[in-house]
Amino acid sequence: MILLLAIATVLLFAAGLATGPVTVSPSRIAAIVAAVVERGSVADGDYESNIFINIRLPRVLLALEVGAALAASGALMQGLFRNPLADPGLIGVSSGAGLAAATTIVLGGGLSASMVGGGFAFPTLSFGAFLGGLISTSVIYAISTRGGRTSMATMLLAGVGLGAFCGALTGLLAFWSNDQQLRDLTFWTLGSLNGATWSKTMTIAPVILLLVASAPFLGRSLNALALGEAEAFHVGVRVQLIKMVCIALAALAVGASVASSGVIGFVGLVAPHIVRLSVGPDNRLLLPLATLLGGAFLIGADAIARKLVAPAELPLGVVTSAIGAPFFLWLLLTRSRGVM
Amino acid sequence: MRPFIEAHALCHVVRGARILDQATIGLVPGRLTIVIGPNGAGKSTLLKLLSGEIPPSSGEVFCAGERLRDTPAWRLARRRAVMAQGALLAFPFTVYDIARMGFDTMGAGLRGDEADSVVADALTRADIFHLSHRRYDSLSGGEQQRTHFARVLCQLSIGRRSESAQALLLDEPVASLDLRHQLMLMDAAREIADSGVAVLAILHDLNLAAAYADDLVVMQAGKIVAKGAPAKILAGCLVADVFGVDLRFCATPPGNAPFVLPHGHARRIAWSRPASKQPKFAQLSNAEDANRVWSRKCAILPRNESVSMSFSQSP
Repeated sequence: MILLLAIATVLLFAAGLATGPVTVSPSRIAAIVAAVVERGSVADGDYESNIFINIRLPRVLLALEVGAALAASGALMQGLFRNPLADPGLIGVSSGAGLAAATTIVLGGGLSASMVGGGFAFPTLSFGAFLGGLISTSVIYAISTRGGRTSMATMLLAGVGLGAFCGALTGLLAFWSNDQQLRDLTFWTLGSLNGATWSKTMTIAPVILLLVASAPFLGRSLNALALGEAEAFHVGVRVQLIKMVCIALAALAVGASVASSGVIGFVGLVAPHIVRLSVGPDNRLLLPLATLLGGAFLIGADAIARKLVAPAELPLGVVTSAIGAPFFLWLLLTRSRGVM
Repeated sequence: MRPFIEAHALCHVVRGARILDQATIGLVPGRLTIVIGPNGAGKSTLLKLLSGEIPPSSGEVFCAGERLRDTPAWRLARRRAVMAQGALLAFPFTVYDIARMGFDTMGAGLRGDEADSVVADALTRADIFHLSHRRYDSLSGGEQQRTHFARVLCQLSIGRRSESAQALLLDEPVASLDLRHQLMLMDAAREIADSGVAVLAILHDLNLAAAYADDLVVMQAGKIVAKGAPAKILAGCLVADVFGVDLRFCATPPGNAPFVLPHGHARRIAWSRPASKQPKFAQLSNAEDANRVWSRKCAILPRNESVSMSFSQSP
């Protein structure tokens, strides 16, 4: 199953590289890669290889990273909250990052207007969003931790509460904004990988690698947590430590992915579900599989977002939900019978 | 013999309410200790404090001579196994998966086939092996309880490899089991105790308690009111008073194990509170019953004015 999904991911990766307004054939890809590896740089006048190396490759890599980060965080949160409806948004990363981004777009307009043009003003907007996500998660964590123990129920409610508050402020900012700002804001809340650069891809890579690398070690503990927090402690899980690690990893990874490509819904919720429906709830399998599936899914969705209305592109969040939701519902109808 | 788990003057206070008051108890290897008492007497709280799940408000628990709060969870998991009441499962794991969770997080590297044989053995002892691949949420309450018992057995058998002494804590382990499985589980608990494990079980069935206990512990209103051999404890009027029922004590021929025969109706229990907090309806019913009520005196039960519950009975 892992092998199958890994092969699918590689194939989708290649397909993602090939598709777009300018189609690059697989044989051309091989030739370009070979040439670049040989020379160490891109030939100046070569339009096609320039597109491929500097635009498409970082974009597909970013899709892989963001998809993997969202799906892995979703799986961690579902295990931690012992709730199949949990998604990374619950710990406040998305809402906090959204508010910070809206603030930057609307109030910091003068500062970043020149950079917002095609993509996002990367340093200011992304850094602000990342910071905003971390701050709101820390606030929620502090609210729900008493005497060294974090209550997940309180955390869930605090997440909803803070989310609503951030949503209200974001709405207020949208109300104040002008047309261009509103457009940026909308695009941002639906997510897009437009504006992927090597620097973006490389900046968020360490955070996401950290999550992907440590997720397998959390599998057994998350399995035990399914029995309940007390039972997990009885069988030897350091519950508070696991909570802290999971929340920190998810906050960092989701913060980084939201900062780089906006709020992309659905992947974090559904990728773990699809895996659970097909291989069962064992987190030792679930975490790596969901990570792979999330990455593959986002590459595919991004390819469709670029191809469908080329040379313009659809917001990524629209594509992920539009494809993912019907597929998920179909899966529920045919497979589940009370699995959730 | 020195107790393996030892607790001295344990108190647990939640928002001013004393759930557990000055409880002192020791679990000795090889002995099966059974705790009885009415609902809300603090039995489960005592078990939670002994397992380290919640820290005591005051007092200290020692396990293998080490303070519980200083012992890391993985080491504690090797020294004692806990079967709590009605665990609700978040995701659809199978019976096999759940039994395996008993040792998966203990940090004992185990080869696949070795782990399989440990799990299979535990599932067989808990009489749930035939359902190994069924999903937990498709099982009946009793089958779910047996699944958790298998998990606990797994935990004990792997923990035994690195620890010389162990404890087993069971919170109402037979609550949803049929008669045969009740006896099977208690037999297993007896065997485990005989193999040198200190076992504590909370039971509501006085006859089961009398038949299996080495030591009987009676709790009421957060306090341990009596400790000792079942025959001695059950002989007096203490248990009848603690539970507020009329009991007749008999003895069965083999081994002279005492058994309890409840008769008539449950006694009327008046819930008295401090006058300032007393609700009106309680005063009314007290006044009505006042001349019909008589309080039964019992020498063994220490009368404490601060205990918020008193028993009364209509003749």
